[in-house]
Amino acid sequence: MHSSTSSSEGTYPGVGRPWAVVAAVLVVFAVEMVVRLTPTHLLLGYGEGLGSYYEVVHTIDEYGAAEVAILGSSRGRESVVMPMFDAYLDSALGRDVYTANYSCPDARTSEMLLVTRKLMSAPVPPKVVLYVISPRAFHGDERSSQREEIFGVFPDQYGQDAAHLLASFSERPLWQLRNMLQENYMTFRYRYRIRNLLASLPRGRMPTSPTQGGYTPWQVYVRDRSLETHPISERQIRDYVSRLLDANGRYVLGAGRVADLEEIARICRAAGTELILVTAPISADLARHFPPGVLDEYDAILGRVAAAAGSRVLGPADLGLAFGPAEFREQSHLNRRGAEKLTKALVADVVQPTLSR
Amino acid sequence: MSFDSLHFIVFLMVVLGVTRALRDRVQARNAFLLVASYYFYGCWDWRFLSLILISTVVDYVCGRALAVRPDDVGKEPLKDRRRKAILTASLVANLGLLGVFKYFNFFIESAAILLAGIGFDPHPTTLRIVLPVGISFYTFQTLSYTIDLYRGKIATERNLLTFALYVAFFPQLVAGPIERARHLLPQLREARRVTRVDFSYGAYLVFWGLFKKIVIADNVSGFVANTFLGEPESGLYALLGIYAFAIQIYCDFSAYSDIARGAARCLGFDLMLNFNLPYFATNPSDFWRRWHISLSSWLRDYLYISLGGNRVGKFRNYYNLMMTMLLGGLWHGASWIFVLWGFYQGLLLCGHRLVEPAVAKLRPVEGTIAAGIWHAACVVFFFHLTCLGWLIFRADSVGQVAAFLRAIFGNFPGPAPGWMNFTYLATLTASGVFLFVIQFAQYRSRDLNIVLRWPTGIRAVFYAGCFLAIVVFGRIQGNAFIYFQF
Repeated sequence: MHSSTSSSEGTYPGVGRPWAVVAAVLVVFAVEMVVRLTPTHLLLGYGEGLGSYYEVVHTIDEYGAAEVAILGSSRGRESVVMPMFDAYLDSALGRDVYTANYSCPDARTSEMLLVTRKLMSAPVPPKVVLYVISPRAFHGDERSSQREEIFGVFPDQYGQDAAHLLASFSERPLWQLRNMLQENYMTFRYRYRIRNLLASLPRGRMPTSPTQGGYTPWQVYVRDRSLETHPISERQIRDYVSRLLDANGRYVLGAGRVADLEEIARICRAAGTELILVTAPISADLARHFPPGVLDEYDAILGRVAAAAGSRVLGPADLGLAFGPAEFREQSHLNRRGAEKLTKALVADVVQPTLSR
Repeated sequence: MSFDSLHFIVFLMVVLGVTRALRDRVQARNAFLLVASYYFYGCWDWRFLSLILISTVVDYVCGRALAVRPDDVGKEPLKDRRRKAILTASLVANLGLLGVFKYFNFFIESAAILLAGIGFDPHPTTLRIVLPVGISFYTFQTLSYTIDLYRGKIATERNLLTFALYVAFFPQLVAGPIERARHLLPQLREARRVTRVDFSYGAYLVFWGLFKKIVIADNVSGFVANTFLGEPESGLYALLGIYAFAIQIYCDFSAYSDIARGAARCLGFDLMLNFNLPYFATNPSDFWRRWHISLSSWLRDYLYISLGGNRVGKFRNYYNLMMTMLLGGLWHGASWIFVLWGFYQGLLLCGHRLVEPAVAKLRPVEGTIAAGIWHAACVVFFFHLTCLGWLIFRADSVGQVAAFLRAIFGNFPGPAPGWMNFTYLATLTASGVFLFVIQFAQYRSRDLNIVLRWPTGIRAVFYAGCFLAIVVFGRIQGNAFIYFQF
């Protein structure tokens, strides 16, 4: 076998002639045309990871802000069964209420502040924001420029990290370029829907998204999984928590994250939106493994922020709920059964009374 | 700055434009390429540029002191004490850098464990040393220069600018190929014309490399990470996880090499081939002629042959093979698991050398159907031996290797795939099948660039399909290239 850098490369009929590339460009262009001609509501799809942040931005751009908006991390995504939430609320109020769950995996208050700003910039801001929150929302203090820049926020990174000065110098124009691609190249913008479509071929059904009022894939495909059917060992939980600790063994509830929650509360208040903080249920096993004092500090932060902004903090106990191993998918996320229980309570005891006022 | 980022694509376009403008002014072109290479490296951490500068200056000075004139190349060189001292200085400086920045903590911690095992409590001092990206690659590259000079195989490079560019040339600086001075230096000394063929071929390599990295390797990585998170759910998952890692590491590393070679080609330079369908190898010797060729040939030329190679007795030859592979394993990372991987590779090579005469007698006559079946069976069998090596390479500990083997041989069928695993398995299957089809076509035709021979229409669909796959499935700025950590 000869090397690919042999002198015979010149004999390849395809090398140096542009026809195949030109034809390929035409194919790519044709795909773009098909995407552009497809109604947008068919193109918004379930995004994973960073994709979920894009999905939130594109959904708000397309539909505006939901009347009842849910914020949070993956705990927020999994804690509410959106079709049920929507149906119960419509039925309780006797009208169609636009609800959406804008929670994004691994989101901290910093990212939810960006979502809040995006929601408030819509022509009609939400009436109610339910922030399903957990200690993870305050974890650490580092910023994710990758996520912030999706929302058009370009933090001034110059000089913040001398070692990576050159990289930070060139970050901003590149993210602007990427955002520009998102705006103008629709195949790229709606790639998650295309992924969903292809992924659905062997399964026969498309994943739905809570951002558009649907189930999460976990709520559909592993709805019966629980800590009873799939127990998690002490060691696994210990390992999970230890990964969240800093070098000194502390679980840091970042001051910057607290300030971001205060800002969310301030923005909501200024817009006349009712912010309700709902503490996401976590399993008893996980709660036991947090370093001493962290959960108390977390509760104190929520209470302080809510009091200052005139918001409410509601925990499962306030709603008369308790969650056992049968209602958790694993240590930190509710399964479908647990989420249905919380959803019913949220509609009946929290959202419906608020909207009826 | 990673190859799979917008940053690199913009950077490459700027470099291509300026280099083209300077194409007839060699010194200006080299000066520009050197600045661009330092910028490229500095984007990770500019502080570590000092290490490249140290390596460059030390080997430049050693090279000047060794003073091999072009007329003397190929003649038996003097191996007097002075020349040996110069070579030793280069070895000490480069291996010293590697020792401090890559292996210091490993040796201290290993010594501490050993001492603790015999009853001492040594309270070791470990330093928080960050591994400078690419250090294993550029130190080996500069070492090859001084060793070749010492052996009289190349002439001294007198121009510091050219030599500095040889050390830091950005396409291969961070993860190879580990170039040889006799191949790259002559190219850097002359004006290079970039023909339309060069540019098209280079662009094709960059494109294909990007596809392998951000569509295949980064998408398969999710399943690998899930499987290697703890103990596998079943033997089936364990086996699929190992297959997935085999695909991931090949696509990740060969993608880097392809992009490096493609970018260099667009600039008018030729870098050596680093991968040649390694999973079609039929035995360990064959594998190492196909996998990370620039490292395996470096180890052969500068370590194995220096130890005596195969011009020694049988047992000394096995020792040489084993030592070469143990050090090759350690080159990959400061961890006993890589030493174990090197030991395993050494065992395979020694075992193959031992049984080869007996196996040769069983081999059917070439050109028959039986020979074809035999060949395919050898490929499949050796692929699984390679996979066992990848299990050792990827595992966190020997305990995890054991857990995977226990699952494969003791608990093969497992639960039906959940939602996440279903998605991962679909990705793995699609990636594996696509890669196999392309590579089988390359293997059958004995032509790595068979795609370029396809009719225009088929190539158009292939290019468009790969581009759309990058747009839709690509994980842009996803995972760092695996070999950056070495």
